[in-house]
Amino acid sequence: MTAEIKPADSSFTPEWFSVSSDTMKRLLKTCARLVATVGLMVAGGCGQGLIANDHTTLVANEDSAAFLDRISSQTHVSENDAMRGLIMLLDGSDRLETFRQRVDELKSRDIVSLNWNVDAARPVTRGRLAYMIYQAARLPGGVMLTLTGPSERYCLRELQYRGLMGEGAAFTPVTGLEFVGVLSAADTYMRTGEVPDKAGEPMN
Amino acid sequence: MRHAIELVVVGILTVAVAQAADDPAEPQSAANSSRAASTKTNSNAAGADAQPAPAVEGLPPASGATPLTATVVSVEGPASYIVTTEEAGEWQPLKTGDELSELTVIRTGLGAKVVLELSDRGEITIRNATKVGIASFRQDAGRQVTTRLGLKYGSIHAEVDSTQGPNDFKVRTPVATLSVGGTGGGIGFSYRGLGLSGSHGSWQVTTPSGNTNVGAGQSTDENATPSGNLANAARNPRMGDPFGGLTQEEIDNLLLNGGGRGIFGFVGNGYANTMLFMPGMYTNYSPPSGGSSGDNGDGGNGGGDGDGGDDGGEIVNPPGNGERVIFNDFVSPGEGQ
Repeated sequence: MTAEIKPADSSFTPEWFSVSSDTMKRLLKTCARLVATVGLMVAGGCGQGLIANDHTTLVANEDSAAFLDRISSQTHVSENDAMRGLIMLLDGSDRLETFRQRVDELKSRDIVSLNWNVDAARPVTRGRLAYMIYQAARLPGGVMLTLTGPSERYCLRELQYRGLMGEGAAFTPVTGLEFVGVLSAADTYMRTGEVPDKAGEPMN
Repeated sequence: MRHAIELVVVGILTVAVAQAADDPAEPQSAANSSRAASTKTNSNAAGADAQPAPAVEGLPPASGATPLTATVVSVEGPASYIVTTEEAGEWQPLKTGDELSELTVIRTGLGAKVVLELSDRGEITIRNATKVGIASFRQDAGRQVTTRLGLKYGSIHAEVDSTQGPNDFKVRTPVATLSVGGTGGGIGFSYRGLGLSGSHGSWQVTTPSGNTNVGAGQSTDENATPSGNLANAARNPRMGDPFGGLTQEEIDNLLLNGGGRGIFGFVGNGYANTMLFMPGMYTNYSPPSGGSSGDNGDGGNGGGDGDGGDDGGEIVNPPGNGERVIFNDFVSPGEGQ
């Protein structure tokens, strides 16, 4: 008795493996589009965030005392106001006119991340404020900040640890009074190297 | 004849008593002009003109009380003031040598510091990013000087000197009233709440949570937390917070929408030893009305976060008889009422 061995039928393919040529073509086209999109994004700079309401202006010739007074009674702080506050923290005054100018200025100083999508009318979050304060004050970070670089989450953690910011999650908006308090504490730290306590006295 | 003489004597005495009991308040127009002029007069009124104080709007006539002015000793950085009694009041840059009367509000910007001399009764240092008002500053016939300050936000350092005479010195914040006899210390109010740090002498703090006395080297917060408890909390490392530093709103959101995850916390602060926390366990501060986006409490310590309210500046302790709380009426120009 001999075993009959027959060559495999070259035309045979399992049903689940059978792919029509049209489907294959569509699949290849999709992959090609995906690769092209990613390539364009990389080439064009996918890290460049969008700027919304870039021509929004603020009160002109406002010194920091008037600015903080105005902000203190607001329930939220817009990103436009927040960036004005950071510029005042760094330079003492803000002579820039539009939101785009402030964004560009702070990006050039690494205060605002290049990847951020910013909107002049949107409330600034605690994480974003912490990031900007961390960069502006040139704070030394911990292990995670050293390994991964600044991020909203860990910058917030660092500022909370140092007593510059209070409790709360990174995604929550900042109130006006909180913004004034954080800016004040950061200002004192940048000038004296010490973080003030709740009474405004240097912490021992 | 004898009866007639007695009647005349009684009549004379009656007239004399009636004159002594007359109200010393001057007409309103005279009060306005004297108030406007007081911003530029010499602040050292102690022992000088003993004219009765004019009636100030909102305050009862103060018999024998002389309004004083605070002198600006030094100004650093951006600082301005406004006299709220003037109808067309505008913020003016603050300069060294300015004389500030009652119902004047001072605000400072970043990098600023202002030193005010309170006649011969002490000194106030207004730090950066601060808004404070002089609600009352006057001396009575007995040489006691009554000072009422309203701290809207920021911090000041007060040095009160009682060697020249008695002082009734109080500072009001949106959450507490602090009073002192003859002492010094730092007072701050921000989104994190009240902070009082005594440098010497003693302070009395009145809050909705209770009263406490703060001595030299001690501190307290808006909950009148004893200084020792605050020191313990500061000593223990804050490895974390129950609920990961979430606010009460976020905890509630997790409870409602997060599958109940808001229930569990973790051991992290100096107080907690249990592994199971209930929401609100460590939230012991609620912001005054108007601070809808303010954060509540923190991880079990006496301090708390909170929005100090809107521009109305809710004062927890109602003003005493005749005392005017300046920030309840103060509105910045342009904001409207």
